[in-house]
Amino acid sequence: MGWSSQQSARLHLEMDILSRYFPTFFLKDSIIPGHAIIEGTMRSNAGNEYLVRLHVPADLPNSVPIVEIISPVLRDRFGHSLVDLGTSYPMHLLKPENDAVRICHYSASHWHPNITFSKVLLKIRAWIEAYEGHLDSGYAIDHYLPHMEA
Amino acid sequence: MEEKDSKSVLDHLTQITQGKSTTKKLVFDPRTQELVLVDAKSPQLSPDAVTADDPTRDGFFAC
Repeated sequence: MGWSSQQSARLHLEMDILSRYFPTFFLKDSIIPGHAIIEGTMRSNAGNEYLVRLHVPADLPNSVPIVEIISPVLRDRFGHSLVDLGTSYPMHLLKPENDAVRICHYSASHWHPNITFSKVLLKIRAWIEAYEGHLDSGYAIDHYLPHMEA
Repeated sequence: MEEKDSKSVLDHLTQITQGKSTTKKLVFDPRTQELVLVDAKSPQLSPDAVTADDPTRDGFFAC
């Protein structure tokens, strides 16, 4: 079963917004709900590039999209792979799958269907800046980015 | 005056995280893909620039 007409319209709207704010991001495998991904490159202020993948939820727009950093392999300041950290509260990480770091951006309880992918990616962009801050200072990422209140 | 060096951006994020008030606001400039600090009272860099402060102040991540 494919996307509903409302979901197709929403996906079109999401890509329209992303083309304005994150023009390197493109939709892939969009035919089958649950398989669609949006992938693109983000560049930090220091000029480092990160390949970011957003999984479009099959029940778009009702669930939090999974967002992963595909490359480069991310390590903490001490040389440990972020994937090996698993779920990490101070680093804002979810349990990884397929060796990709998953960023903890919204909890399900804070999610709202009006939140756009562009806003999600804005958080990921901030996470990347904070990650580089961690590499430099050794502070955990939640030194730079606070946790949502319960 | 805008600032986009990593230290200034990170210092700003830290201040927000610690609940301190700031005289700057952080915006994302889609033309350059940079996070840029601008004076809180000045116009944004471009019509397309969006604030990156609000989601931070709201509380950023939950896990």
